[in-house]
Amino acid sequence: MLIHTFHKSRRHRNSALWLMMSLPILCLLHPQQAGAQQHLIRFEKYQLPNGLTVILHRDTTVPVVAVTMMYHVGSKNETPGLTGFAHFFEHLMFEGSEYIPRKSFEKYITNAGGSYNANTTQDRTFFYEVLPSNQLALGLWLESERLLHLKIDSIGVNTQREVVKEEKRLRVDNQPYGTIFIEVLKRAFSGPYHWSPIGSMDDINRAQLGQFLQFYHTYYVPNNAILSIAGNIEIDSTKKLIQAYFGSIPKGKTPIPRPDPNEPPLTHEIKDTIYDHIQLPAVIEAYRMPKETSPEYYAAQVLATALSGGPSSRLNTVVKDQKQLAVAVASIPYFNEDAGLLINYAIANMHVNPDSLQQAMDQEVHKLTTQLLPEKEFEKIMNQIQTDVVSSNSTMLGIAESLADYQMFFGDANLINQQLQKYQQVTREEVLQVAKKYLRPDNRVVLYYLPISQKQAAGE
Amino acid sequence: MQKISVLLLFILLNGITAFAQIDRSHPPAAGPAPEIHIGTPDTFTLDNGLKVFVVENHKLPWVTATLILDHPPVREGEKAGYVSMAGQMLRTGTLDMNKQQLDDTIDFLGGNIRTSSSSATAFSLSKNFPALFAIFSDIVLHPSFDTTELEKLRKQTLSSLAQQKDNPNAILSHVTDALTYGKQHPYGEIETEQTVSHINRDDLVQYYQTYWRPNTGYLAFVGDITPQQAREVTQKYLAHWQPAPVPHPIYPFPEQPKQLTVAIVNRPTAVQSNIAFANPIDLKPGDMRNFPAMIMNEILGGGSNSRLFMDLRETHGYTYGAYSSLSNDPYVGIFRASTAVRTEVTDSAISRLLADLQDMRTKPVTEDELTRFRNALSGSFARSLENPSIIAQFAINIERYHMPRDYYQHYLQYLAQVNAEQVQKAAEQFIQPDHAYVIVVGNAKQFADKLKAFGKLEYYSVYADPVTPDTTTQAPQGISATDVINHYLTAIGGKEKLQQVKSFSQVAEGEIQGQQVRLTEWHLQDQHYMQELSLPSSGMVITKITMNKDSIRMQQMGQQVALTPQMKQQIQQNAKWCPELTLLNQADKLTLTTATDENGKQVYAIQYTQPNGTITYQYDPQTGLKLHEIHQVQLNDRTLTSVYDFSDYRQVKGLQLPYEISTSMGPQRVTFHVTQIQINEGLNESDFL
Repeated sequence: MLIHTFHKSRRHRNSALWLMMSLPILCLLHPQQAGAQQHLIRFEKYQLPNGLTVILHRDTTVPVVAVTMMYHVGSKNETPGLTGFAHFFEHLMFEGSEYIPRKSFEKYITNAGGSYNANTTQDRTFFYEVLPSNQLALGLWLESERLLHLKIDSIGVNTQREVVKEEKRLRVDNQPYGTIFIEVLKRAFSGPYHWSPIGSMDDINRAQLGQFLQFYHTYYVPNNAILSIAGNIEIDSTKKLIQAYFGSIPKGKTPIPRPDPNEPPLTHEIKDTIYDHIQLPAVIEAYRMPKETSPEYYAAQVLATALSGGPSSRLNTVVKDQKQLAVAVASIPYFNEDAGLLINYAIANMHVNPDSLQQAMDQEVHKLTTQLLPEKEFEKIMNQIQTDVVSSNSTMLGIAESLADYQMFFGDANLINQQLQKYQQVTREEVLQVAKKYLRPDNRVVLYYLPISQKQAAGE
Repeated sequence: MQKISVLLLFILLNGITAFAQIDRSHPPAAGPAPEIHIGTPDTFTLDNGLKVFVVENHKLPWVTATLILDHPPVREGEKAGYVSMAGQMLRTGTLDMNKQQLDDTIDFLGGNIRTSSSSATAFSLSKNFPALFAIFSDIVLHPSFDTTELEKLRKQTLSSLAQQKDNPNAILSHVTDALTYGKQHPYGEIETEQTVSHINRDDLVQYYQTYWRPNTGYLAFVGDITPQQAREVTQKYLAHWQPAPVPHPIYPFPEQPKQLTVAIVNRPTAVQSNIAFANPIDLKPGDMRNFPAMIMNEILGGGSNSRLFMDLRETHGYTYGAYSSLSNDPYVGIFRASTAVRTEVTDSAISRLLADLQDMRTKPVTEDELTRFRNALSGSFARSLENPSIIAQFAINIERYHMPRDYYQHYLQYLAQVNAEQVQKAAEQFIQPDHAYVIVVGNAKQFADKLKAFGKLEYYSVYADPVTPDTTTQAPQGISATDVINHYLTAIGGKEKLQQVKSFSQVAEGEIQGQQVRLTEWHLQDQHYMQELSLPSSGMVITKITMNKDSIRMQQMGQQVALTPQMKQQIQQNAKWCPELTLLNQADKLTLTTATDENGKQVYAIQYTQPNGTITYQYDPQTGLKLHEIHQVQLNDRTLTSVYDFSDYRQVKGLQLPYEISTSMGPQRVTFHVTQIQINEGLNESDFL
């Protein structure tokens, strides 16, 4: 029941191709481990007549099962004046159903020895239970009940309203640098990515029961969801259970609204100063990036790795280590369904002027836009990415979520097995092109976070 | 393997049955519990005493190696922070490779190596692991403790300490540890700018040479590696690591307060209060009391179905979360319950928290709770097995803490045997409200008085040093005098509207010694001012002050009174209809503090210094409205103080103006009620002659 500030990097996926290519060599080196390299994620995918997409992955080495539901609705489906609504609704999904009394949804899961949570991004809302594998049916019952029979009333709305507001205070308002994401979005986008999933206090106060019911009937329908299950399951019996619990849920009656995917580009650099309760200034440079399905996505990930992947990366080596201008640096790719960002940020070392910090960051970014990555560095980045991709998908929950994610936003769950292949197609020239195209001053938002004590000095 | 097939058959049958009889009104029954088998790692010990554990798991082509050094915590005293710094310094250079070379090589292998004061971890794909392990061993055996790197690390550490000063969770955590364990115990020491500046290279080298010895070490390999391969790399790289005896200092069990003590760390800008209840516990790993204690903690505050969460979040909506934790430890453990709530409900939340703790101690838990939370713990144990590292962790724990050999093998059975009586006993033993601290990080003025009901109040700095509770002279953090004035101006209508006020007159009535009096004031452009005190019954004028561009005069019962420069200055100040508008341009003469007014309310106080005295303006931090003005004038060797109180603000032509004004001078106190206000209505300079 939280907000994903940043999407998990989609880089951490497996690749069948790489495994096939590397297998013969490894067989020679470690003949006794030949089978160990084959970690293809096998899955089955189908659709129920009511439009619910189902993905099943079987792994018998663990005594658990992850049951997940991903709904194609996030904060970008909200209307201005009701920001924070999708996330608020996520909380209400735990309120109970016709057969699940209030406050007992979670109990069923923990009583069964399971764990659960949910989160809301700008694009989608995700719910999951990880259960001992003999409790699969429980997970299906719970998820189907709240899709079919959710019961919400003003008591639940008002309780969750306070909880959501407290979540905002905890994660955003009372957290040093907690508003970075909100302030960046506000300036980087003018369409529905303009606000973050947490929304505003006023809007949270405004949300009414009737609006929630309408939201539920519009977006929480089987044809807007993916049920993705991974773990120690038997495929045929699982399918029968799914049919029994989800088959009779009616398809949505109204068309599902999709916000305009065309986010106008930035035309000039937007620069601003935010005063926060912090001691150390921070510099944030957020560059507008293409949407996640763009072919340029993989090159953009390489750029982020060049900047901050590992201690030998450029921002870490130059800005943090050699020049000692920062205590922390990061380059965070934030890719969404309709648009993306590359957010570079640095927290200044003590007594470091943010201008000189920004200058040092800009120098590193500038190099990426003017020179090819040296071959050795490119190879290093590819090695780092290989480790991430190969060692990812190590948990049932992670696999279930990735499969759903690739299916929902790329239309192809099997991309989980093709990530390394995609990266291996990236060339140094393409990385340079992508850097040139996007890492431009007129395509970015620059924010200085300064201690509020400097506000007076600045004469404001 | 046969067991697994049988199990699957069960699930299959169960599934079919469920399909045939699906009944939405009841939760489906569980299938038979999955068989849990905990593997035993291969182990061997090097001649130098290093114990090695290997957990083979070839599902993914990766390997992790973790080295743990087992020794009692080290007391750092004036140099708090050096042990942790020594751990971080290991990764910044060896005799053969400087930091840059290490970074480049490790990243090129697509791996990572992390070090801390008593552990080190290496991770990579199995094909690169032998090369990575060579570097790992070099880091462990031949650190250079380069002084340039030390200075970099010191700078980073100081910066992050500065950052933590603003982080309420970090403050809460430091202060909780310092008070619960005591600052004399290694677990209660706090790093500060000062202690970090005392650390030098010799401290790090000495720590490393004393404590990084193979005879206290446990090394675990997990993943795509065979015991034979593990043996080879360990022999090759770590066999020549020299053993040596390691000191085992003993620390007394922390002294606990004699009564429940509320420790407040004041943060005037906080919008939330971060709260923790804590007491130390004597519960070592492997102790069988861990099982009831674990269930007790789970019922109380282990998760979002637990009592604290249900009570503070779901029933009362005070917080986003409320949890408890119970940590065993070979030296001294801790019980902790914590939450973060909005400032207004600080006292209510503490009250609920303490009541929930008390219930746990005095009433047996229900059978239903016991079953539910036992299941929860069993399930989380099963889920933890998804991570192969846990198997190595179990094996190391058994060795390290001399735990019963079957502790993990029979973990689920041990949990199953716990009864309600044992749970209550665990609560009595490990939760001690009469000898604990409640630590609150927040805006003290908003709740301090109400917390007295819970126990003794003490105030601490962010570094857990006792401080005086009187915070009247403390400047609020992150807000300036100008901010406060702007807040006020906005609250009464906004600068723009105020600047449109050219003339202003007001009539107010009050009572002095049983006599009805009327006070009338006229303002024009701040340069013209009249004030008249009269008796409405007879129309008699008692005093009249007239100020225009040329002169300032005062009449008392018709007689001219000679005015001293100080009195003239005071009149000039009074002539300003809205003095704040001009104060904005004199920020250098203003000082902002927080203060408590006579009603016990916290206010923002702005002191304006003039040649012969001061005026203090006090504002409500919430509404922004002005509450008081205190004028102090130096007259020879005496200070004359007059106080004005403003209340009953009402809307007049888009402005918020006080309709009740009290004034006191010495023992005299008069309350005036405004009967008439006129804005921009027919006043001109000729009225002020």
